[in-house]
Amino acid sequence: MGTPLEIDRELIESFVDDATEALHAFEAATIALRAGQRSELLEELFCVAHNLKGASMCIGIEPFGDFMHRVEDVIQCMINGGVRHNERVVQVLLSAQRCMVHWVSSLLTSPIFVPDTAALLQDLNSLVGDGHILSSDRLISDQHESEQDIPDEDEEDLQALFEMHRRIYEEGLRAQEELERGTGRDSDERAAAVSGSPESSLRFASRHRNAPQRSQETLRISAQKLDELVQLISELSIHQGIIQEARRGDELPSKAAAHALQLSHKLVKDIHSKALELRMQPLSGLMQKLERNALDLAAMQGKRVKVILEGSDVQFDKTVIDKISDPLVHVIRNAVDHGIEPYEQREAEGKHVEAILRISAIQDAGAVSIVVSDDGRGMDEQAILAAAVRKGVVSPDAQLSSDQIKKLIFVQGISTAPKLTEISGRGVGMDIVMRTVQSLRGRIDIASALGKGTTLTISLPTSLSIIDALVVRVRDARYAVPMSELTEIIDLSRYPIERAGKGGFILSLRGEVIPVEALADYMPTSSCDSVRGKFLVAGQSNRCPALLVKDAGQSVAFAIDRIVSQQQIVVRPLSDQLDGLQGLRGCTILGDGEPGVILSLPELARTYFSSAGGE
Amino acid sequence: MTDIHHLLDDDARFLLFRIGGQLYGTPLLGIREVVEPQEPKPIPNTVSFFSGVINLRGQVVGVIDLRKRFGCEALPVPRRALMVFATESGPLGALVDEIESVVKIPAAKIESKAVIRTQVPADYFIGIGNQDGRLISLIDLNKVLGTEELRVSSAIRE
Repeated sequence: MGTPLEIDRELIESFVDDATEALHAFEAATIALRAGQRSELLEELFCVAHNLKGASMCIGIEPFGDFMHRVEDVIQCMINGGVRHNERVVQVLLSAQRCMVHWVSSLLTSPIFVPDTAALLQDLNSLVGDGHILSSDRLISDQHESEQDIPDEDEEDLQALFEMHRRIYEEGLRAQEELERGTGRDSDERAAAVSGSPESSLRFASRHRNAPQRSQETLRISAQKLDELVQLISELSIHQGIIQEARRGDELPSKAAAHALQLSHKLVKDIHSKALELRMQPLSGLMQKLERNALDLAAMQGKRVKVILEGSDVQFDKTVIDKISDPLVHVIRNAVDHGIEPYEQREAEGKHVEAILRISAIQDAGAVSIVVSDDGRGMDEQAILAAAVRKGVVSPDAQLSSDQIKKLIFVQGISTAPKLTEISGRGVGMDIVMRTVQSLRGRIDIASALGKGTTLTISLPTSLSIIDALVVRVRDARYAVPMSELTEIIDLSRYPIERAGKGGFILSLRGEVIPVEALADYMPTSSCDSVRGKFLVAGQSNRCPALLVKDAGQSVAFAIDRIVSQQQIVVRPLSDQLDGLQGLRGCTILGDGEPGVILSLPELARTYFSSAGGE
Repeated sequence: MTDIHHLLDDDARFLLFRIGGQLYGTPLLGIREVVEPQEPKPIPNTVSFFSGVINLRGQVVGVIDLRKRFGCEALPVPRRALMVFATESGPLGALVDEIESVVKIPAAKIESKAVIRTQVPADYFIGIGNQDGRLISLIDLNKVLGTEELRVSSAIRE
């Protein structure tokens, strides 16, 4: 083996990639261990640890391999029944995992990086030595003391025992590996003979049956390559459209050509949607991260929390997952830090001492709701209001609804926490959470009952890049409107429309008075003049469609000239220079290959209400 | 001055184009491609010289009408061509009357000290190139377009 400095950079990168994924699996299995010791989980942990050890040794990162070996020992003992699973074991394994993640990621910048693992090793060794350390009902409160519990003399004995244990297995493993290299899988029996441990050989057998399957489950693909592929397919489908036009114009009279064309049209469409699906990922990774954060924080604060994950197979666009990840972590930490009461308080209030934090993802048409709910102390509206008044955000005599008060937590600087904690420290406050969600076209709802808990519902569109849209014509231009933003499409000619002061128009729909605006007025281009109220002239006898949009509970109807079609469109961002144009969401290529603009009607509605309110 | 000196080595090549009879040049390096112009779709609330967007092989590309931008009269029968720049803020097209040629203009033949009133920020004005006696205004169009403000303040209605 070469010295670490000579390690090929490519090898390291590929090791880091694999190790990151493996450690992720390690984390998942460790967390799952909480639910009860299951032999397949231990097998999986062992498998991960063993593979990582092998891989790191292979490319010459020996310190990591040695550390991995210790981890492997603990798992080994668990499999043999030497260490009984309990909260402490899980905690130590998780700390080890955290350390390894840090270690692995640091290898990229410095291949000779070695973190300080002394404390961790001591913890690991103590597990192996002690067997079962804590009875399960004393887990959390005793956890910290037990780290220093072991007297020194014992420690030394245990260390010796541990070393012996380690050597035996190391020898067994080495023999095992050598045999495998030479003869393949049927070497198990011989390995058993060499290592003298029949259990271990059985275990190896099952491990090797599992290993090849795992490696074929997923492929790592760079997001950029994926985007390029989607881009190429988009181009392809546009040319497909052109050929189709030619066919319609009788330039391709052959029947065979027609057939082939039809088929290839379908194929291109399928490829397109498949390629777009590739961007979708299950939420499981993010969920795991959230669970981990909640449990780590709870352990740190001595709270007992049971995290329930639901719907982790729900798929999301990767971009959405990346963007929502940090805000969600913040929400979770908030729930544990502020929402869930300390152990003693829960006990005193007669609540179950173990708090429940439920994180669920619910798939809906075109949207996914991520619901974070705890059974903690709930939100104290009076305290929030008082904090807001103190900050000068709300005037002392303001009359706010309960919903409005709860939404105040999204205002920067408003905090009801009696003391500042170091928990957040991520530079993400609830105001950032709100902003991120809004930028993803999502929204947040809060339900809370004092003393009973809080439920935060974050609704997000599943994909940023493909949306269902209504294509409408306004004057000589076509615009795409996301279907999810429409509440209703109405025909203005069927409602009496009244003038309402200052040249505005209103209509009455099911008892609600709704202002009517011409969408054209919001879309001035240099070539057109404003034609306010045109829809009135056109209305009455002819159909005159209008799009009903709600913003903050208020509706406004935007009159358009015509509805062209409904189609799935691929959202493309406007160039940086056009980003932030009011009421525009982005661009798209419409079905016929022409570029079109995607409108954000809620934003236009907001423009209307702010200007109407200001008058 | 911005760093335009890297554009001024002996091998610097420029794409020459005409707007309203006037000859200009821009570094070839910043140009992604030159394509047949299409009719752009206008975008609301943008400046008048921003013609709109086109579909360039599946990509939505904004188009600036350089004649309007430079305040020139169009040629009676313009041939028109679209230069597409890969600017820092994404691809952006510039509509011109005519593309002439690609030429090499060595640094020695560029008078960069000339003080001339132009329509572009002085920072992006490279100088006056002398190519066989023809004087050419050399502009770093990539930079000009990439930093252009295309939005008009959203004074909607009334």
